[in-house]
Amino acid sequence: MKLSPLTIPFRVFEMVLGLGSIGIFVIIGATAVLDVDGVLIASLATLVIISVLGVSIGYSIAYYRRFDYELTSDTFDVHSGVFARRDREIPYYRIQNVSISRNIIHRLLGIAEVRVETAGGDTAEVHLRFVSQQESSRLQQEITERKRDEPADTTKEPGTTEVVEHGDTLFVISPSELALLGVVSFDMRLVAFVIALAIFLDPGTMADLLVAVPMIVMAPAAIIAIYIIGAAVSGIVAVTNYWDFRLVRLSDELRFDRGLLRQFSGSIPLKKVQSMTITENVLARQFGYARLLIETASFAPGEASGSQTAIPIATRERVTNLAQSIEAFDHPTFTRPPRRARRRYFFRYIGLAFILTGVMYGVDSSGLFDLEWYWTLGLLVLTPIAAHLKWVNLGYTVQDDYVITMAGFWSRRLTIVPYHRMQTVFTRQNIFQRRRHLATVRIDTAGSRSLRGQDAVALDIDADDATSLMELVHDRMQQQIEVTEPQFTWLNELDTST
Amino acid sequence: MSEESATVAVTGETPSDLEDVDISVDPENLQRLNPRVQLIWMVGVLITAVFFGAIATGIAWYLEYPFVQVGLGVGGAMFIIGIPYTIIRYRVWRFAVREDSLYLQRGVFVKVQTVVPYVRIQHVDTTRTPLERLTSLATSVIYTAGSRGADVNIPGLEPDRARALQERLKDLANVSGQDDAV
Repeated sequence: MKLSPLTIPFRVFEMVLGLGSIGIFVIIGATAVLDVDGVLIASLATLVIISVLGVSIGYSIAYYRRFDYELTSDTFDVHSGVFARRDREIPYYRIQNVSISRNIIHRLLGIAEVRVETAGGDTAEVHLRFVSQQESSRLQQEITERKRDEPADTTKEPGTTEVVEHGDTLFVISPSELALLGVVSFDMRLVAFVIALAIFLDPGTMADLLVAVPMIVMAPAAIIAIYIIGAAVSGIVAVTNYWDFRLVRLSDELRFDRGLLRQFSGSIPLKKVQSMTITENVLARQFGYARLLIETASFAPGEASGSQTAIPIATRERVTNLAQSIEAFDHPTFTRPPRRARRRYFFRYIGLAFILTGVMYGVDSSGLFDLEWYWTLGLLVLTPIAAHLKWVNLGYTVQDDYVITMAGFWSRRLTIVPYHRMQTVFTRQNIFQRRRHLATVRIDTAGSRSLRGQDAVALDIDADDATSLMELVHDRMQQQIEVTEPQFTWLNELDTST
Repeated sequence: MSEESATVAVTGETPSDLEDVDISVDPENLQRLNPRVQLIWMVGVLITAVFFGAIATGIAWYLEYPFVQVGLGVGGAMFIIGIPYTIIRYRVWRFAVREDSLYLQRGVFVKVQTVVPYVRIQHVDTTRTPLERLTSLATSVIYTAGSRGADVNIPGLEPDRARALQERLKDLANVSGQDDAV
């Protein structure tokens, strides 16, 4: 099958925009330095635009002509490449998800971008740019159905499945939930971006502000301003991302659709769930709301971390119920770390407050800025509260089939890991932990490498319990795979018998 | 606050399930690394010391301090601290090829224990750097599908032992693994 013919004009448009702007910048830069006359610039610019257009059209046509994909009885085949040719065959049962993404221009043209993912890797294994909107839905549907069939079942003729599966709708975001999502979403990365933008656009005012206003006024004012700007931007981003979010359960996968400006549709294979995370940030917690993330072993397109959002926001009860329908864990009763862990955090925060004060003092005495450095000592008052809040939100529990950990005050995360998904388990103990006979257990599952650790972590538990927990997770994993996989055989025995 | 109702918690008690887990490690089974690995690590310490010594020299020269003394001081101090560090590092390094998992314990400042079940091993590499070839040693690198799988490596093995370990792990992974684990 071919891509949509509209691919050609769209790719030309993209390439002209990209290459053309670089070319124009080079010309403008060169004229500023070399001091040449206007006629030459105009003719050069025309030449650049024409050649860029020519190359783009030629390449896009070649790309379109060379690109071919096919749904065979047991594999999805893609033949591509203008200069270097590549033929790729992916068995259906290895496909983890098929996602569709459409921005505003795609929607005007009626085309869509399709990505096909298998386990591992940090890019999509197949990237179709672009197919028509109907074709994208057909591919998603078709691959889901073929994936479900036994790999041996080739009796089914391709294209005979006319019935479109609708499934059960599990969740549709309501306007009030969307509004609440906007209110509680707060992304520190966006805040950093806003600050960087402000400094870039108007460095003078920023520097003036820093020296003109006394710090006792400046610091709280800055925190409030940063919060308001950050919250507003994060809120807008969250609302546009999760606009019209709906989650549907097909027989063995969850399908979600979301997005206002960029529409996105993806799936979560339920048989491949590695772990689930219920997160409640400090604001959402006050309202009793939570988010459900599901980690599969594939790269999650359109997400910052390796997990996919199954429910962006809903009441904690509803989120827990849905999570329990996917993995049947019991309502957890957590074991908190011993009280000496809280003491450790208390001393840690005192240390941090002193280090911060030292840095402020250093900056002040260097004469570059005039800081009232001693105000940071006021943070010492907050250390017992901070230590308690950190400690009170920690916990872990072992159930028959799951290990569940909880951590985080600003964003509290409950991570649910089925034992049989564990890959390796670590116990770590640094010098401070050793003094208090504490240790941290980390249960690693399969997944794409992400910056934000999504692993289940039991932080600062008793060191002996840590070793026991490590061994217990491993033992139960062994038991579970032996129970759930009766075909467990010893190869050497097989070899001798045949 | 509503969060209390959602998370009933007990403090510091050992969950009953953990109480009957056998965590005794048979010291007979624990293997140590070849002592020559200390030489390799010592070279690493030396390189680090020279590197930071050079940086310190540069900074001292720029600030018009007596740069020779500063450079030698910083580099020398790092090297002297590095010697006991290397020795302790060697002394605490242990691993065991257990019934159904590989067990490792190591670390001077941060003590790390790792359990790698054979079912989860994807493949095992044996690598030898030039320095390792000079000292006739090798490193086994064990890969799992986990996000930090490549963190598991066993340095300071004699080439024969590394190869034997690779073979053994491969066999054990084969008999126990039939699923792709993801």
